[in-house]
Amino acid sequence: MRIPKWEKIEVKETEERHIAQLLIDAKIGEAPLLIILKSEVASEVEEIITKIENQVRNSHFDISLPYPLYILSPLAKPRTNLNIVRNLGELPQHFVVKTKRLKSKEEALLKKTSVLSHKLRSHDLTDKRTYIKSQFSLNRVLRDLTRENAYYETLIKQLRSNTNE
Amino acid sequence: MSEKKKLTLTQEKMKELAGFEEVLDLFFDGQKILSAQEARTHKDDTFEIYSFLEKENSRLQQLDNLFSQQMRTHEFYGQTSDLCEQQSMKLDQNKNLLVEELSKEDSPLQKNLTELFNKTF
Repeated sequence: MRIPKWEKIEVKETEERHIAQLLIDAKIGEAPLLIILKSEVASEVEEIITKIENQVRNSHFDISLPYPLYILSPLAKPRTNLNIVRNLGELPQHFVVKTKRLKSKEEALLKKTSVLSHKLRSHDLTDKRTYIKSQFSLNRVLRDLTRENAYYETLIKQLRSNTNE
Repeated sequence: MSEKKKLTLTQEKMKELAGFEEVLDLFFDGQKILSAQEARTHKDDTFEIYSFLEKENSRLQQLDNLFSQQMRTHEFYGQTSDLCEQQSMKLDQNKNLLVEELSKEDSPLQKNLTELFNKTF
């Protein structure tokens, strides 16, 4: 059990097996993860990002829930689904915590956190995300219909008031 | 080995003793001298993790609640499609009403059209 604060890993090689092992060792999904790409060659960075993306897709992890996955690289272009930051200041500050020896009350809370994050991971998050997206579009349709109706209603009201005058 | 203690002083006392830090070190060998404010911030530090964990628990709890209860209720009893249907019907009615209003002889559209025709032809 560990405090869910930023875990940093550095990817130095472009080999798929190496990246997969790094992600497994970092226990992706169990804590917020920051992948640091120090390479200064743009094509290499793109290649690593594609491989990370494949790995994440294959292992069915959600990139935001319960804990986010971020990539730190000044060269990366935001063409991927993964979250990319250019410097550490852009990371969500919620997970920036100074760790020290925990007291019993804090340990009890950490146990609860761990149980809750396990519970959250047990949901089919990809499925839920698809459902939420479908609801987005349906809600937009409803919004457009309501706006159109409101416009026609005002128009009718104005026409009637003009006729009465 | 004796345990190193912390000596807490008020702000006024700290000001009075300014410049005598080296002498104080001789008297209170190994003791850490803190102002009352510093001591308070040291004490507050211990709550940082506690409050972080509380916030984290509340975040996870809310997410779990969203996925396990609210979304399930929405899946079974969602009203958006019905509301869309209702609004579409209302839209048709409103369009018909609008045409009716505009086709009346004294409607502004008819008046404007009459004026336009009279001026042109």
